[in-house]
Amino acid sequence: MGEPAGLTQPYRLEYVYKRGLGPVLNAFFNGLKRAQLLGVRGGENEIFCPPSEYHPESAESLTEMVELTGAGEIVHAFWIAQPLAHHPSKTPFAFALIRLDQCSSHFLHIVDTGGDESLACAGLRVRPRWADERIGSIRDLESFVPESVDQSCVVMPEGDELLERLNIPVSLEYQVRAGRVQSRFLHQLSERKIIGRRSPASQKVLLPPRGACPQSGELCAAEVEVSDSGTVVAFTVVRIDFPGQQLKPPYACASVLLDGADQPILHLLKGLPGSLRIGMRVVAVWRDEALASMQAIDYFCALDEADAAADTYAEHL
Amino acid sequence: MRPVALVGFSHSELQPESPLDEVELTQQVCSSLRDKLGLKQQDIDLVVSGSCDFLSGRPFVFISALDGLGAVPPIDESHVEMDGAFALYEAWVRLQSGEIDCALVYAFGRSSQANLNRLLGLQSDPHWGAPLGLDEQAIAGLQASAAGLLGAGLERLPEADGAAAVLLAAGDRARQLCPRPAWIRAIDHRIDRSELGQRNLGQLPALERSAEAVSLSSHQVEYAELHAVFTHQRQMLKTTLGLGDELPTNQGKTSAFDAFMVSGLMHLGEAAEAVMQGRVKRSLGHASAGPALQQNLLCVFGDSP
Repeated sequence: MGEPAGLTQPYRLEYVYKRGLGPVLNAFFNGLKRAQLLGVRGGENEIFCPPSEYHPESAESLTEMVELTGAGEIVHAFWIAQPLAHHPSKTPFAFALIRLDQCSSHFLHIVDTGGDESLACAGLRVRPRWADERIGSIRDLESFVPESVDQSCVVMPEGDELLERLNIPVSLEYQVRAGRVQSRFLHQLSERKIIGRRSPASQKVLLPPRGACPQSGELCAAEVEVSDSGTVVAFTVVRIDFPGQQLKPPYACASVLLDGADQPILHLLKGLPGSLRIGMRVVAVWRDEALASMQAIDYFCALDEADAAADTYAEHL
Repeated sequence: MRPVALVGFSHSELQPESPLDEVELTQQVCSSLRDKLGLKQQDIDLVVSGSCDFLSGRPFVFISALDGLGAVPPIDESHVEMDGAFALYEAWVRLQSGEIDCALVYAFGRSSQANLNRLLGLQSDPHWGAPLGLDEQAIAGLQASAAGLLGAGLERLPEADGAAAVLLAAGDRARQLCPRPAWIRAIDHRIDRSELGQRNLGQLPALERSAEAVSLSSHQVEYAELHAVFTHQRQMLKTTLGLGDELPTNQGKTSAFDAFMVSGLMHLGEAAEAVMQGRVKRSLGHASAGPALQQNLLCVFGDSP
């Protein structure tokens, strides 16, 4: 059998990471909103910024917030000559560990030296440049700049609405590759063929085929074409709208045991939710365009024939 | 301590883009290891895997990968969202408990599907690290700078997809399965502070303590496998562990690539293989994880328990 090229598809994973804030982080982020850096006292000569809620060694709870001037000095820097899309600056800058005055920990942020790499090194005195609009985010502090640079910022009044949680957007790009067996199965769907694989251990026809038989862990090489009609063995009716929906509600999600397969597949069932029942016979309605995807089948619809005998699908209930 | 040994090691080819998916990679390395040792899945008491669902961008990839094992009827199985080396540690602990006699440990990674540089930035603090656009390069650059090893810039191993599996066994079971088991003489893993700004990035205090915990200097290891993605990290490891340049290091064929989630387990496998093949009496395997070598595991293998 010929080996088709592996299928690949771009994919973006995006979500907003929502973090509830306790009293220490709440004070820190509301400080940023006011264009102010706050640390937390760890011990007599110890201030951590960003603040820890507990002492990293004794695990004691820390609560005493301390206002910092925001000024400090670069300890280590790494120059980014060509910023990438996920970087916070479009122009060259440095990631830096900064020792803020009074602090015992280092503060990791970025330093903007106007593109001058030679300035961005240990010992440079820096202070924050604040964004004009601040929402309670680490990015409210746009970047650190050499102390000598003139700057001003709009300071928001105290008692501003308190943040209770952070919303941190995350976006990741992928290039998903389907592997050998799944690529082949999806290619076959684009030719309107549904092809499972026989498990050497149980002789059952697995659908969709996987890289191995989940029962024995053996490779399943033998391909078996199955019918595009089958029997409903379970279903649920969808009556609500949601983004990305393929059919207009009401419709059903059904588990369909295709004739010749020993494993039901999940797909959509269009029309007549009132007459749905386990055992009813259905057939695939293919899309006009050839898709290497389960969406090559648009949906299933009822066949005008008698229900299947119960013993033909009993083990799938 | 109950004597426990690594008795078999198997790995896939390391490739920039493997044509195999997670199930296929798992199937390949687990079946080849079982065949080598003449075992069936039912003969194995416990399975522990290491992988990262973020590499594929889908939840529960590690569950679907179990298809490659033959996990029906249900097997005793566990997973760590870490390099397989740390899965090996869990298996070792279970073997110490005495309730099992052998365990399969495997790991797979397909970093070619993701942007690893970007993804590893998400290991930093979610409040003030990740939103800054921190990435692996930036964190590595700061560490190299802190260690005084930035020099001409960063040098990183090329990424690869792959999978690996090892079998651990205790006592007589180990002797039955392997003529020359690689006995785990000592194993320890520790973690440095999670806040990058609270660490002196130029030093690895947790690793120092692990080296003491395994009494590294007393073992007279003849060979070492160190897990570091960047050249400066390898130098930091050697310095921290007090390993001289005369000690043969990383001669295994896996050292040319970074197979994320897999390489740590492979380094342990290579170190053990040096003992199993009779090339050395004592070897050191090391694995790392987390930003800026935050987590480190040391394992000393020997030709006797």
